[in-house]
Amino acid sequence: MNYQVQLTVATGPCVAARRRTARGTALCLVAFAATLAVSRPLHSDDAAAPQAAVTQAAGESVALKFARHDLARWTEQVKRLGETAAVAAAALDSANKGVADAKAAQAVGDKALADAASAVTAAEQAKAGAAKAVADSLEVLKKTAIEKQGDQAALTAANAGVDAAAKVVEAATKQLADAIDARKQAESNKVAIDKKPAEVETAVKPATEAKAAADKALADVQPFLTLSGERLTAFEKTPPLPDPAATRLVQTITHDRPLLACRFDANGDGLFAGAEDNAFHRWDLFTTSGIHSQVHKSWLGAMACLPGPAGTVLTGGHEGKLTWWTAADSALSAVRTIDAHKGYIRAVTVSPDGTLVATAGNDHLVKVWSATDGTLVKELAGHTRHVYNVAFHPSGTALVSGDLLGVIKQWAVGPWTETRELDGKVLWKYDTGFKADVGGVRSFAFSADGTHLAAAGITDVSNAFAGIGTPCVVLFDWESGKQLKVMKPKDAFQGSIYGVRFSPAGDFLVGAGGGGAGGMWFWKLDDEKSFQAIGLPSVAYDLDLHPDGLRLAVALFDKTLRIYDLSPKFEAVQVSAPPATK
Amino acid sequence: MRCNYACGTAEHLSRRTFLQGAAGALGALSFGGMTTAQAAQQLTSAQKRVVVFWLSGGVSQLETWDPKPGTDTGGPLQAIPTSVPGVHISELLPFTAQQMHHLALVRGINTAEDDHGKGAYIMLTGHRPQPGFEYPYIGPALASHLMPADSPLPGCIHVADGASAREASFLGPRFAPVGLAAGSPPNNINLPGGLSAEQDSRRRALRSKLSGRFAQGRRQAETEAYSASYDQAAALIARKDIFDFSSIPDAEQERYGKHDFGKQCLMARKLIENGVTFVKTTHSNYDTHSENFNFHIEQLGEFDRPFATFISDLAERGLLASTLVIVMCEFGRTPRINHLVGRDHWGKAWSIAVGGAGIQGGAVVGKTNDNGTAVVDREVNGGHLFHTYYRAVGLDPTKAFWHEGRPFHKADPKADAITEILA
Amino acid sequence: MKPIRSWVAAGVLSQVAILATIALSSGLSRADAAEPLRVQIDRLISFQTPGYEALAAPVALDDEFMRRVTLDLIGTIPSAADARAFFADADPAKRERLVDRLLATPEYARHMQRTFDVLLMRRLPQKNVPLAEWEKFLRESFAQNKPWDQIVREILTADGSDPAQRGPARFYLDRDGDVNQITRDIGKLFLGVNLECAQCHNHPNIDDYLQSHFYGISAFFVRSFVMTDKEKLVVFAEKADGEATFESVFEIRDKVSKGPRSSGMKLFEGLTISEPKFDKVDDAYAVKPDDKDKTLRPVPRFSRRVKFAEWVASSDNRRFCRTTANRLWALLLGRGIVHPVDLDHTGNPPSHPLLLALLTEELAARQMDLKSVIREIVLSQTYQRASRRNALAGAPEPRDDQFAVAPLKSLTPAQFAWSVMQATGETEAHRIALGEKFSEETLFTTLQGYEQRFTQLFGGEPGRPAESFESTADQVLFLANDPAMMNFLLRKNGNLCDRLLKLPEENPPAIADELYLSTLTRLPTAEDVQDVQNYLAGQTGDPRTACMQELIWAIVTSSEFRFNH
Repeated sequence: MNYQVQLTVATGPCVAARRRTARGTALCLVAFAATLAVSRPLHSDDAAAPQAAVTQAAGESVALKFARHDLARWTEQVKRLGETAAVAAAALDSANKGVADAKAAQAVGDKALADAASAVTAAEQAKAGAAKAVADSLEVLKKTAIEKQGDQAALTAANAGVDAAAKVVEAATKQLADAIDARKQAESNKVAIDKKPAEVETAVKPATEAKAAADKALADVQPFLTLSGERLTAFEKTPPLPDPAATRLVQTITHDRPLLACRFDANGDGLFAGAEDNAFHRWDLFTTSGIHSQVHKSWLGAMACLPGPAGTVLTGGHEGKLTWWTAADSALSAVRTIDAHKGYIRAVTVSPDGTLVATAGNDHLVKVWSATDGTLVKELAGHTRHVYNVAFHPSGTALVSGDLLGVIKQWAVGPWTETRELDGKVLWKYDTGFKADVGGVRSFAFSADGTHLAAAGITDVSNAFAGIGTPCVVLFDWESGKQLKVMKPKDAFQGSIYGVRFSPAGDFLVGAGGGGAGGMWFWKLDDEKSFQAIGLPSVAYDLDLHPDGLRLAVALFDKTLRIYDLSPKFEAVQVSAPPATK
Repeated sequence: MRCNYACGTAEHLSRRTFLQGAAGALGALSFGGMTTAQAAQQLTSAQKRVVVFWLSGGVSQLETWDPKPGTDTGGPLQAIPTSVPGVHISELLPFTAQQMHHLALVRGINTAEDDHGKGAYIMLTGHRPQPGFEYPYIGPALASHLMPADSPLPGCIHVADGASAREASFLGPRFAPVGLAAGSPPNNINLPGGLSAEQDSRRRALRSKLSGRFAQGRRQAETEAYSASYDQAAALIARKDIFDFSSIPDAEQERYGKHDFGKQCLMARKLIENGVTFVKTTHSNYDTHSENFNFHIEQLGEFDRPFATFISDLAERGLLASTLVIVMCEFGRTPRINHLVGRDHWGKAWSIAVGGAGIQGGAVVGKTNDNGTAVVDREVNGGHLFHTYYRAVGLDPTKAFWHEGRPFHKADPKADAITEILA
Repeated sequence: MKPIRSWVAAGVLSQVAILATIALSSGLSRADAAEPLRVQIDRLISFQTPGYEALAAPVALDDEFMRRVTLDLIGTIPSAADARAFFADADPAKRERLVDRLLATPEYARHMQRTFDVLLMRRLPQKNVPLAEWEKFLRESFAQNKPWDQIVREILTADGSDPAQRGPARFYLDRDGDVNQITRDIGKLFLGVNLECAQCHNHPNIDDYLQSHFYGISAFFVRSFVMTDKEKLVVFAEKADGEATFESVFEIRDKVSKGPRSSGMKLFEGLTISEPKFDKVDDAYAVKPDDKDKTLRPVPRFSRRVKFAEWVASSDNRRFCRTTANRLWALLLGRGIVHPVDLDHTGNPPSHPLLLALLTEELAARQMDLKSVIREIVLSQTYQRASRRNALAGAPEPRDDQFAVAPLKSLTPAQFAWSVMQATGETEAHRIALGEKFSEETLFTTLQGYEQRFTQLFGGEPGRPAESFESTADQVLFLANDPAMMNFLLRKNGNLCDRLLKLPEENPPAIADELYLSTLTRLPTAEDVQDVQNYLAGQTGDPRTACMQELIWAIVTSSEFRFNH
């Protein structure tokens, strides 16, 4: 699999400055290795984690805590990348030194070879001299034998001369053989030494590139450090409120398959995601590393995080299995997998106190489970078609479930009786040409104070075959159960909404989805038409709100997860992102 | 194209002979009071019948006969084993999977046509469209051979589908399909009070005579279609017992499902049991450019059980061996999953299922590549399929229809039968 | 540039000029100003087909003409008494007089109302506007012979806010203001183009139909929406902002899309409409929308919809005139000069371009007076051709698009219902029963339930009216066995069965005369008389009554009755 993370730094809503590194994968791997080394649990007592920060500095706004946390994480990231860059620099130095050493050794080898060669020459000369001495002594012997016949003593002396000369030849011959051996050895040493520089040379290029990549990674992250510092300063001056008009893209994570679902983790460090590849994913927003685990046998479109420090996430797959995970920076561990539904699990949700889990499935059932041990608490029957969504009221006393037909049932938590039905039929149509039901409750959201419920999907379907209709959010008054509004985009747009959220203060709603193209729309609670629209490059199949209440993540068909910042625009040093390289 | 009545070919002579013969047969039925049991007995295994299940809009081969789970094109659904070891089909067809030993799969279809109308034409006629001429559709074409000469019933009945006289082309109105509303007997199937069968027959004879006189020297396509529908209506009245759903135990209707398609399948079974030669029943709609999987779960969830029940019922009654069953549509759907989680039109590499008469149950022929984007083994087109259908019901596909002194191939001479799936 | 684009851009007039030149150069004499339109029609029909006279059927006799023109103009067959009087009339101008008489009846207005209702509303079910109000609007418009462009303008500008003018607003309101449906239907009805495929992408088979054409039209309607006003009336309101944007699904699929775009208010490749600019959105309203009051109907200062109505429904818009002329021709002759009538494009040229140009110009010159053009068409020899050719064996068969033989037009559901009731004397029986209360209106009210039965069975699906002739077993079973049909045959005071039984038993030819004149608007042939005689031979009392009913049934269900020939 090939994952890539793009970071975008922008100070205005429409300045989408992106970068892509040619060595993105290598960078990820380096960063991933660094993460492995650290392997920090997601919800530790680490002072940098906002969970801890909340307890340490009560009274500070959530957004400020997260801004502080972000700064700490970026600082940490810069430090880590700085260390990586230093290691890379050292590795490059070492490689360069290796080349120099090899070249020096080459000179020494050259001299040794020359010495050996001259030794051979000397030995050859010695041997030639000795051979001449033998010849001379033989000549003397011959002359003596002719001239001094009978002179035994002279003859013996001449013979001795020959013997002595022969011994000298023998010694010279051996010396020459030794010298040749030595020269051969020197030659062979030379071949090895000559290879060395080229060998060590090859290490220089990757080391150079690794250093460049590490330097670049560091340089790229620096602006985020700067920006997060400025963001914190700005937030310290004026507590920020999300401003849809300021919405800008800040980060893009690229995967290799279309994305279906996304959830921020509770400390805002990572984004969990489900995709068409059946795997469960988590990307760290600071280290940009992704971890992936394949447990589900089908697409993963439903997920929910348990509140609190346990680090537990639940996922529901289209094959009907529900999995409990513990998520750490380094690994996603499946704790428990149960057969929850026959057919798709379409939604998972967790009660506000974290004790109960509710799931909705294609078997027309809503099921309630113990969050701690996965036992079935209650099976809620009554829907007649696929149940598309389920949500707990913030009070924890009620559960709502919505189906394909736009039927929304309310159940009392505890007795598990059906207490009310809300009319979401505007989200459904039976298409007589297509002969099928179209629509359904694609997303639920409660306002934080529990006064409103939003249900989202598609309405006014004119062509079921091609999914042509109007994206919409149906707003209900919770107390009366009355439908207050059917909210639609201000401008004509065709498609559906797949994710809806209330702003933390409950003053506006945001929905994301799409059809031919993607879109994100913002509505004030009093208006039927959106007051702000953000085009997305592709259909958004899920939407989540960062725990800081200022950022949104969307999971897109175009294989990206995108994070948008809604914090008010603030004065900042212009950070120009490095140009994209191919 | 309309039948040309001036030609005087043998085909036309036989049609006129039929019109007189049919009146006689009707009379016999009306007066002789042949019982249903006798009629059923007469339905010998020698008479071959054909049922087409038409999955309108183009069902996805990946969610039916050629699943590719775990690939980038496979989607979220799984494959399940079937009653034939080693053959897997989509999890959306659990009941059909249990009937797999009665069905053969053709997994290497390449019709190279992504237009609904043209795709349907290829699959229903076996020929590529050509301007100005229409081949007879599968129902009229096969009925023209298989329908007993003295059959009191229409040769082709479309259950819950538009029945256009155009489908008979030059074979003429005798073989034009009769359309019936979903699962219900036709209204006004009973003669009005006070009118005896004899009187009815008498007034019809006069109606027919007057109409014939009017038609002389005029263009007759419409008038013949109009008159043929009276003959069809008379045939339906004579055999109205086959539409009597009140006699079917509730439990049996329950087995098929009480939705329209369940009723259609039960009706198709009754029609086949009662000797109708060709029945086409349509299930809508599979043109899933968006939400392919949601719609396939819904639609195939409705299709699977009644279809499987139909197959097992026919097998139990000993009728499957003489009834060719074809599950098809205009084309398959794109392996690539689009931005609306839909699949688009795909004639390049897709599948159909056939079973019953002349077919080797459990056979699988043709193969697509790992993610289903191309046929890699035993590629076939509409021509091969028509050769196979003709052979399966014991007919020679290489003999031509003759019309206006010209031969018209029953099946494309450039193709031949898929013998691997023939019994 | 493709031919039609330049044609549209330049307007049809230039094409007419070209055609006129061709006509002159081909020896066709310029139409005399005093020469009636019907004569020009016949000349152009004959001009287009070499050897036309040899190919063509003779002009129909009085009986065939009377039945045809009565069905075409008032939607039912004539009575036996009227037929007798017409046949006996020796005036050479009697056909003209008959046409004028028919065109002046209230039945004409109702027949036109029904015909145009099916065209305009496709038998869509009633939703926000009572059918009766819409029908009344159409009927009164045709009764007054309102110019067609005026009728269409009234329909396209109606917003339903005036309780007295709810009728014409049905066009929008019972489509729920759906911009796509409105765009598609306006293209088909008034511009002769079926842009349905162009909603999602350029038409795959027709080069002339682009997606920008669809959205150029929908731009006029994208600001309009259906709402419920203070008076609890469902009305069609309009905003002062909003654009129609589009993106080809092909381009999305092929990943070459540059994102949604807008074509603005544009009519094909020609006229682009601009609108006044306002500094503030609020200034663009005569009545500003109020977020707090959802029942307040906003009114923009510039209405795109009204602008469109003024442009499209005008005799200056030759595309509108041409489409209207072609549709009128198709209604009467069974086939458009451009055929199908909603596929007017370069690849599908008219069979008789000169004739279509002539009718287009005449319609414009006559200020869209449909009645006067209809009158001329039905008095042309082309219209009056017999449906039976007495051609020699082996003679070439004329093609449908040569208009050489009268086509067999299957009766519409309403024509069939009222003709059956006229033939069997059901209408006569009710006329007698109504006595002084009788009027076209009261008779219609009494018997409209039967018309509805026929429409349900023969009219196709709501929203998709039957287009070509199909005969199904359920229709025939209705005709054969339904109690309503049997009821028409029963003897009632003054109905056909009653009249026939009152005729002397010993005079079968007189019985046959009355039977055939009442049902088929012709006198029986010798063979027909023999049939009647044989059928009744030896029958008395109740069996004779039954035989009489069977005779009537056999005729009204025969092919001769089923078709307007």
